[in-house]
Amino acid sequence: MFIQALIAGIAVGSVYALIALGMVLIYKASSVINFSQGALVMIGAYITYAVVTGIPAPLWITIPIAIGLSALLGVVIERLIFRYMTGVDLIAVIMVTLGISFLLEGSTTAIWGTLNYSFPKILPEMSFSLGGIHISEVYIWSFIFSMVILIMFTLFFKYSKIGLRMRAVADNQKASISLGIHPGKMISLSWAISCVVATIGGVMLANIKLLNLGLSGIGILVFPVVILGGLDSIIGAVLGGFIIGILGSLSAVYAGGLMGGAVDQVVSFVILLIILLVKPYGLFGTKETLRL
Amino acid sequence: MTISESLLKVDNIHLTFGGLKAIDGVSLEVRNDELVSLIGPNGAGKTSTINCICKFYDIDSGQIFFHGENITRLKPHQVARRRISRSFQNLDLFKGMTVLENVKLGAHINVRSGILADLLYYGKSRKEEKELEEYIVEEIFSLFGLAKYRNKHVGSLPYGLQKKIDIARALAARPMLLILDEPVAGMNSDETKEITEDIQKIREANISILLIEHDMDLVMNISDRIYVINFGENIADGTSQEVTANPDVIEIYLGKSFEN
Repeated sequence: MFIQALIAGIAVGSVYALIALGMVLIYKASSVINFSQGALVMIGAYITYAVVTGIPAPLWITIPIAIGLSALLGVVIERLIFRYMTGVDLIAVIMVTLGISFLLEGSTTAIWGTLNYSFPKILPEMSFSLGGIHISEVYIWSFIFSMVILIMFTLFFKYSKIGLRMRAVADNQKASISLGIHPGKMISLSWAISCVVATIGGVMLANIKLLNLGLSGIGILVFPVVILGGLDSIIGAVLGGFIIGILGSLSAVYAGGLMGGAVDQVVSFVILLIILLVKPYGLFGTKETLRL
Repeated sequence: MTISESLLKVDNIHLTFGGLKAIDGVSLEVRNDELVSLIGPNGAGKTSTINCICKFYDIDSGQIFFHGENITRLKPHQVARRRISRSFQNLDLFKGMTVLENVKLGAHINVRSGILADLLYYGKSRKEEKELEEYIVEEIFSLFGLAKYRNKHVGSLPYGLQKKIDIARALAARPMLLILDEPVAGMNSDETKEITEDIQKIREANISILLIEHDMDLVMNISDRIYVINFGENIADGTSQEVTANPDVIEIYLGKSFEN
């Protein structure tokens, strides 16, 4: 029972980490706390569903198309909205991200309705058992995907030119401009990457659960992950994802019976409150110091 | 034959913040291979002038020419790509990055491979990156004595060193014009001497320099020409002898001790 809950927690946690990573990317590049991340996860899953079931072509063609469309959505959002929101109050920016969230949910309802869809099997069959316990293949795939993507990100930011430029814009926009870097392009790119990551997370969630409007609720569940890890820390997003995933899964098993369902969702917010009391900048976040 | 051609020409620029006139008709010129200083009391509009040249501020009127091109309406990152580099008065380094990464970002301006190329041609991109590192280590780090700090995070280094890294980063872009905004402010005399020597070496590499500085010994010793501004207006310009002999300049800025 414990092992099974632990493994489920790690798998769900790795998806949390992935989605949290998207939020961290945007925050690092442009100091925008993106509350529409959950809606991006949802719309990404719907887009992938539409492309995979709508285009009669093998997966190695349709999946890249879906990924490309997600990236495009990110660029469009940045170019049409956030490019004009520099220097605007943080609270206004947050309201705009919430607005985007409602817009995406509304459009999804308009196009696909409120029905549940079962997502086509796009992950290869794989059976795995550990100590006599059968582990669902979806969990293993989510874990593998998340890990590969997280490692790719780490390498991208450490070694590629573009990654270095994106970090430069996040670190000091003024200085990066004076070095000939176009900050808008880098922020656009971070939105594109963030949307792609959200789509991958959405597809995995839709595989674990069903494809419906409820997927966007992940945004609220992932928020404690981002705060726990520190808004601007990639490693924090990853560890925060695992911590919230595992604790949520364990509490569902051991406390669920006592308190009824959905206790796992409460637990993550209880953890969030405690963390914020002790460490206001999260476990790995940068403490902002004001120098006079 | 003209003695030396004009590289940067700032022609009668005006800048207001709200109703406040920050710059009220400043003109200046930097010719090829020249070191020009811009001096004046605090709040005279020196850094504002630089920010106008680099397009961080949009000027209300006037024009700016660089290397024969009118750059008045360019965006700031486009100005940087015309090979104008600058250092900052208040150290705008990438604090979370290493010394090498900071300086490398300065040099990146000359290797503009696109996003896809960067991702797809990983091997080629890496070779480029290696050459870049060699250039930085051999040319830039050896000049500033930064080699032993290459993998240190800049936020952890002392102020004097950070000032050097700021200049090193600007120089790594191989600029035609290097703008230095108070490079020795807050430094002790040893550090000032070091930076002065570094500036001399940069000059030997035929890079034109526009310098803002309050250290008058430094300014008088190394400048070809000096512009003095006050309240956003030109007061005087000329060689160090001409400027120090100007009664207005003495009155406003230098003080009586410079009279002899």
